[in-house]
Amino acid sequence: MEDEEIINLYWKRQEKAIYETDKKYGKYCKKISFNILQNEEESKECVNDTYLKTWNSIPPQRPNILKAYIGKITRNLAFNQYEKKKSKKRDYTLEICLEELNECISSNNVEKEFNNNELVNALNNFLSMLSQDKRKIFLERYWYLYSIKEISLKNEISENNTKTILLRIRKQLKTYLKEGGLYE
Amino acid sequence: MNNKDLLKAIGEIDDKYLIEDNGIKEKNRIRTNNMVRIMKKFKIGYALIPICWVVVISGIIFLNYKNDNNNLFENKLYIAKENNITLNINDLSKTGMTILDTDTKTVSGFNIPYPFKVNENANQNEEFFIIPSDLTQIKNYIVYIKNDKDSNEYNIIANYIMLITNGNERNIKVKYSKDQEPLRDYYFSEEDSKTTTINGIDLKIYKYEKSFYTTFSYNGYNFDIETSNITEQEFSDYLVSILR
Repeated sequence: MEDEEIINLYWKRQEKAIYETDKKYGKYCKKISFNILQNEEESKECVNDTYLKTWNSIPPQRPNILKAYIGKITRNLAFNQYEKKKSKKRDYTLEICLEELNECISSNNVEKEFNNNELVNALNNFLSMLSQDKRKIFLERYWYLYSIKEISLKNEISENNTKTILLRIRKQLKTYLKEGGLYE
Repeated sequence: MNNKDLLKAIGEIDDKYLIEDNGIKEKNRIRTNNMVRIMKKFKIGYALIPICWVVVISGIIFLNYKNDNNNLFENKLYIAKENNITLNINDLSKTGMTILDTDTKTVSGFNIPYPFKVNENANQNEEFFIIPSDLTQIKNYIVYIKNDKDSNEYNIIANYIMLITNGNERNIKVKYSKDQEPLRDYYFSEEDSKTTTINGIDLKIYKYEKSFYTTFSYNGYNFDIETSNITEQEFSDYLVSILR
């Protein structure tokens, strides 16, 4: 079923909307939540919460791109759920990604106030400057939170190559954010 | 700002980057490390180098050939400068379009309102609108919708259609309505799209495969124009000629 038809079902308050969403994007949402939570039960719960939140937000929302809309809800919910977890394993992909992203921000201990909208705009501009391949790898790592192994298999490159590409992009991002005044 | 702030902000990037990348797409074929080892073992890589050069050189020759033939819709920047007007054409090839089902009834109409300005001073032999010379047929239609969704009667005029066609695959479909925007049976995102101004009138022009799409208000009417297999030059000339 096309996205527009699914959105129309939400607007008509027909529960078939949830069924069709699950049919089309269930695996997608499950993968996003599992990458963050690394737990089967928790990721299923997160996906169910996603459907509930989607049901409650459409209408009045009418997303242009349903896949992105649902993906973002799942990611945010999974991230929030993760932060509530008492035990956070050191080898979780999310923890590793957070350590990597530390390279992109100031090493000063002083936390500067920042404007989230400015940061998102800066990130959009930064991504537009990357080639499509590099952008894909960056998002697979820091949006979808794939492991290095998964990214290298998906893109048919070696793990070393994947790490090198990500390292270079992080350096570019650091320079870009610094020049944009988003951190000192 | 800390690393969590950055990771969360990455989650809020523009939607277009997420559909550009099918990061979760299941691959049918997975390259294994064994295959990589086998290739290294037999040094197939070295054999591929001359083959790659042949492909690159062939590609260059092929592209030059295509450019010389001046085909439609290939490898062009989507800006056309004609009549000293720059068209900002928004490319939908990456975002795509969604086809919608619309509940309407379309009938041939002979007596439909004429939405353009009439140049009363024009010579009778002078061409008023610049239309491609092979588009010799003009067919008029009226699109009706239902007053009530449960009714079977289509009795409300949604919009008019003026179809300018060569009777085959080349046409300009001009939909217009006085009271509302003409109905569309497709949907695409207009977010972040660029505007073109022609004779003081702002419009947004989109391109998808072999079609152009544009909407604007003019002379008291709301227009929605869709073309099929018309070149940028032809479309530009037509738009400039009707938006006087």
